[in-house]
Amino acid sequence: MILKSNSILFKLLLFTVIVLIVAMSLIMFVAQYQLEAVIDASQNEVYSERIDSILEILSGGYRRLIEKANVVDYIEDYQQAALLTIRNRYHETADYKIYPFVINAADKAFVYSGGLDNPLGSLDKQNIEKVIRLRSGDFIYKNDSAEKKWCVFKYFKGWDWVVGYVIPLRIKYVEVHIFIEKFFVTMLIVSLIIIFAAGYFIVKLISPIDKLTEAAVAMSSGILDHKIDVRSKDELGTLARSFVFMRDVVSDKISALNKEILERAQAEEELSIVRNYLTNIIDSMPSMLIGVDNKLRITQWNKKAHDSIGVTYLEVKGRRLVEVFPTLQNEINRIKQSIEERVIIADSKVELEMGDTTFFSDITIYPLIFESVEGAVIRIDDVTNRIKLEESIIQSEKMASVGGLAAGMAHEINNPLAGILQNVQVIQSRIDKGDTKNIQIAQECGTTMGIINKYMVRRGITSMIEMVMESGIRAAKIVDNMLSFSRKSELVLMPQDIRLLLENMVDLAKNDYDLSKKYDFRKIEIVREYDDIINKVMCEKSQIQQVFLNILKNSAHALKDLIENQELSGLGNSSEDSVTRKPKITLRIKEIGKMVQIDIEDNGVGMEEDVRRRIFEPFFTTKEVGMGTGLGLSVSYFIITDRHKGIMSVRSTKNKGTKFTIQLPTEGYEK
Amino acid sequence: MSKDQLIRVLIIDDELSIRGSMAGYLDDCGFAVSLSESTEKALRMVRESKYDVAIVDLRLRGLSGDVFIVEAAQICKDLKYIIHTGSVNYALSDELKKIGVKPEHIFRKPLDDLNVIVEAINELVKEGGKGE
Repeated sequence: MILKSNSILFKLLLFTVIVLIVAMSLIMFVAQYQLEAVIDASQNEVYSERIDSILEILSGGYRRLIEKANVVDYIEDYQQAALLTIRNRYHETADYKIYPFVINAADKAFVYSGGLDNPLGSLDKQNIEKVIRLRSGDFIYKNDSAEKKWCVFKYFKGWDWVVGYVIPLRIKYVEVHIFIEKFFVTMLIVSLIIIFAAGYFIVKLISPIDKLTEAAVAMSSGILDHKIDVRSKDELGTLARSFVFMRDVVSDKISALNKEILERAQAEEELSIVRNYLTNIIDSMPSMLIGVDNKLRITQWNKKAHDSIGVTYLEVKGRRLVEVFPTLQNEINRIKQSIEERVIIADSKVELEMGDTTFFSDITIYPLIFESVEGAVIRIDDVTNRIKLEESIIQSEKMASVGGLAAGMAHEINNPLAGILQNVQVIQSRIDKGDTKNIQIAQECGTTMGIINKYMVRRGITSMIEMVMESGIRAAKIVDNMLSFSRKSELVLMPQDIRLLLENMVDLAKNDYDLSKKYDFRKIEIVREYDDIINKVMCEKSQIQQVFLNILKNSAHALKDLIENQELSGLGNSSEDSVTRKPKITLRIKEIGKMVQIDIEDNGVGMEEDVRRRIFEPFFTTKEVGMGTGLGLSVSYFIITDRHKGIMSVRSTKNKGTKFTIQLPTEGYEK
Repeated sequence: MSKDQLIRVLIIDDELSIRGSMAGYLDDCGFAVSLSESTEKALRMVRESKYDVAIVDLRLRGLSGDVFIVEAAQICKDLKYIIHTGSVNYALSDELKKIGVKPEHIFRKPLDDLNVIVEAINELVKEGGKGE
């Protein structure tokens, strides 16, 4: 318990002290006043009696004088004698003797003004006159700096004397003062006792308040379990206990709330985790997931959508779907239907344009089925690869079936073909006019080889025989090509420099007589863009060369018109318009990652898309009947993709040109 | 073998067209040609006469051509063999390799130039000559 300037104890004590002081002061003041009045009354009586006794003496003296009848002679003696007696009528106090005074009214002077002891004589002239004037009574007077004095007197008619006393008030009221002193001390002691008692009592009384205060302070600094021990049964005790109870309730409530907050926070966190997890899942999906509301404005936009279309969620949020993804225009009706009818609608192999590329997609529209929410999620899967794969599988299977057919019947066909070719060769040898045996037999038959030959030439038999030979050879080649598709093959792969292989075929193309019959390869400008350093490719040399040659022939065929125009116009034109530009084949070889890529690009007639799409199909040909078999490119495709695990593709623009692209795994990466 | 003697060639093929034209060509080139359409007949012929080179089709009615080669090798050690087949995928068995048949002795039908057979026959005979 600290006596702080702002504590209750202090205030109460202060109050008590002040009350005591005020009370004491009042009491003392009143007491003093009353006492003084009482003293006045009693002193009046006392001194009145004293003066009366003095007057009696004087009266006695006076009477005796009168009886003697020698007043004038003996008056002074009698007066002196009276005075002597009076002199002894002093009143003694503790430190003081109060002598009476006698004033001669006629003289206005002291007859007797007290003894030497008496420092009075202090009645000044004015007061003396006052005394004389009043004759009897009393008053209080003060001489300048001297103390107040009380003067009480009575008149003695006989000698025209006034007899009185002068008593300093100090003396007069000395008892009062003593009383007051005693009273003060007593009161002080009592006060102190009261104060201490009060203090003790207050302390006891307000200790609950203190404890309560402690608890409250502790509570305000967060300590909710500060124990206090309050046993008193009065209001403070009740208050303190109630406070503690209330605090405990609050404390429990706070604990409960804290727990709830913690649980909420945990739930929040879990929710956040789940939300993140869901977002993660949605963003990890390889499909584009686009959420729309019933007005087809975008509400959800996953990462795949962002990546594919190139805009962020924030940029598309709330915007209309067709605005952001215009190529979905055709799906709008389906989306609306899905939302209205609450059915899933799927559309496959939809061509979508994005920028300058087209891709195939499966579009599935899922309506949202929560009661209050209307809208849909649109899932777009890029199936371009799948479709390409499907197409290439179909292609492969076609080829495989061709190969299967071929393998099955090759043997059957080769024999009759052998029959044809062999017999023709014998025929040719037996019409050779230089052969001795022929000449001999001819002679025996009565003719000459010359005549026979002449006949043969004139009747066209010689050339017909040659055509039979050619046809037979062609048939054999077709079978051979078809056999390329048959599964069994023993490939001997060797590391090859692709540039060398390609150059070999370019040379061959230039020098091949067959080729030059149809188109003069030498008139074609060959542009080369080869990387300086290329890793070798594991491949079967002759097969790869077959592929290259095949493509070069195709390019030459595509450039046929341009070549002819070149010849017609004579000088080389460098203009690029579709009819008169120079025929050109660009050859590119570069290494990209684990593959070597070979481009063979011409600036010829190009192909329409529906032709381009089928160009690798077996027996698909754009050439006239009898020219080419339609097998060349399909065999090439097979060799590259199946035999060498490479990639072959073609791009073409009508009247601009065609580019064949082959990719082969480099040494070490072939499987 | 003397230079004066003609090289004796035995042609075994079940197709008359092939058999006949091959025979005519080789005959024109100056070989002594014999024909057979089956392994069985050819074996009989090998037992009875001497031949230098046999041109064998593999797929025959009855026993196949490689059976002929194995059997004939027992009969005549000097006999050389050329395989002339319509089969696309043919691999020499170890047995035939042991007998001395090599991949360059295999010719696929149809041949657009029979001269390669002529050259092969001459090669084989020359080898055989050195061997002796």
